[in-house]
Amino acid sequence: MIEYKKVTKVYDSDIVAVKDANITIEDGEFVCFIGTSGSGKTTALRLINRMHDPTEGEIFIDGENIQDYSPVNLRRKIGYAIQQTGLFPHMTVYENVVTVPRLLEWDEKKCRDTAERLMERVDLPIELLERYPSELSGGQQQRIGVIRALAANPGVVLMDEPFGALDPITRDALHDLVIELQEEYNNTFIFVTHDMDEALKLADRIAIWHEGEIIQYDTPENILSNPANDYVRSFIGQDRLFDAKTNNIKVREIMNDNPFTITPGKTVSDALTLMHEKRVDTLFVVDDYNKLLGRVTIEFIANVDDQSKNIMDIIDREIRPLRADDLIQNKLREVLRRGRSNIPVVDKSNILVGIITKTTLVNLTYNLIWDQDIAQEEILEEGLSE
Amino acid sequence: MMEFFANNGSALITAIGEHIFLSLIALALGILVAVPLGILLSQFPKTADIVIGIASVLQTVPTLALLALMVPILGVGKIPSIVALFIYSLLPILRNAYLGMSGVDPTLVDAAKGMGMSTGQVIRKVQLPLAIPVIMAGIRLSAVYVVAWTTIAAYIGGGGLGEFIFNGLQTYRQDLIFGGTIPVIIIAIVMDLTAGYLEKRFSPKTSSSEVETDYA
Repeated sequence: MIEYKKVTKVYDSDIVAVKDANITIEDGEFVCFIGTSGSGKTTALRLINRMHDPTEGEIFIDGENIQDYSPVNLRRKIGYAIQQTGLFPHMTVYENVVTVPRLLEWDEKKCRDTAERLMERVDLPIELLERYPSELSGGQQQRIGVIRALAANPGVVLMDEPFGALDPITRDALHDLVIELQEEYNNTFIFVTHDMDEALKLADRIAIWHEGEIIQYDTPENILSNPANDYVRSFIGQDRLFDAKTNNIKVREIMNDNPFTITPGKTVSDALTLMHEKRVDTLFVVDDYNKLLGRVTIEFIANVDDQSKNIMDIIDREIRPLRADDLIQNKLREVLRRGRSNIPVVDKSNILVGIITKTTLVNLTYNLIWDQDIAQEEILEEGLSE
Repeated sequence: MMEFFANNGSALITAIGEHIFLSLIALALGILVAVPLGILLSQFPKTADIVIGIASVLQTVPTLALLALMVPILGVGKIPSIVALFIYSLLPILRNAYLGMSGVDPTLVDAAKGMGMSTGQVIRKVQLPLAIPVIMAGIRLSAVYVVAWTTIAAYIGGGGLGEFIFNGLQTYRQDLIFGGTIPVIIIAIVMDLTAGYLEKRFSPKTSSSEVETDYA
């Protein structure tokens, strides 16, 4: 856990880079510091590994004041990657990757194993270890920059706009990689960027910096749905705010939460009766805990001769339910493509919680199309009145 | 030609020996002082401006005047010659050492520090290796200058090929002038090539496929 307590950093006695910052970053969290240049985000990052020392206030890592560490020892425990890679051109890729392990005096075998494992992890050929950075492509260099920061498996990793100079495709691939690595090693990441898309994609929480102060520190969803003020709103951009309004609808919000179910012990004739009664063509089969097992449809029942058969004999298990927390925008196309009208919705433990029907989709589409114009106008007006 | 060698051969060889000796000693002292000083200065950019300013002023003192100044202080002979030449060799080496060190891409220094290298480690592992080409270029330049200036050391009894040249000038003997000048030129060229080779040799590798090429 990293805590900033009333941290202020003043340069040259009058330039205030960071003003009374108070934030807490939990272990294993991926936090993006975002802001324009001069907003204090980079200074705030560099305070953590004592590349700068605060003028006032204190920073604690896991409850210990970082001022109690020597800068050198502190930095060796913290991963660090910067813009334009910062790879040493006169060292081989291997020497670059094991920079921190060597400073920590790991033995050569452990260094070698670590380097090879990380190279494999990021899909780079082991042979590249003997090359020099200038012989690698920009994307490969930045991959090396990333694994160099992770080589000694630090608890905290700081990244200062590491992907700023890369093309969008390479950058996208590196984002995925960083997310995977972070989940795998569970390090705490602090990532400085000025690119909102990057922050939205990577961060568990985003701190928006402006003129040395944190204006908002929250999850991407909350920042999009509740921007703290006009500055944040303008920083996020109209397009994203609009997208956020229409895109953040979860399956849970539009589903019909009263699906008709049947339990495994029942017979085909029971099912038929129930269908007739409820005027539906599909029943979901659930166990005693309401866990989804499959479904029976009228087509199946019509093909059965023996009406006393157990429904488990004709159950269709190929149902591919939606998750209640899925965003509908991600699933809409899939739902329409599948061409099925009754799609079950389950929660994390596969408990049936609802159903998406054709009617639901009609309602959703209607709302999206008619509300879209209204929503867009609202946002534009808000934008103009700023 | 043969007659010249017959008459002056042994004196010429002595003079060449003295010339090389004076130059190399002055240059070696220059390297020993200026390289560490330049590295040190790169850590204190504000002081560096002052020190390099002073060194630049010293450089503007004419060679002959500086040699003459040595006479009342250190007398005549080899020692004052070496001291004067040493002072002259300082500036190119000092300036290049400083520029080479402080010219290393600041993002690399930042990365090195940020990963937990101490100041000494940053210098040793990152700045110095990357500054070597520039430092060596300074030494190379200084070497060629010192060989040329050593000629003037003959004025205060330092010996070397300057004796041939000055004797030749005083007695209007072309053979002595050429006999002194040509070896100086050859020594300077050889120094330059050697320093160039060393520059190449000590420059850090930055590519695995780099082919060793002759450096001239």
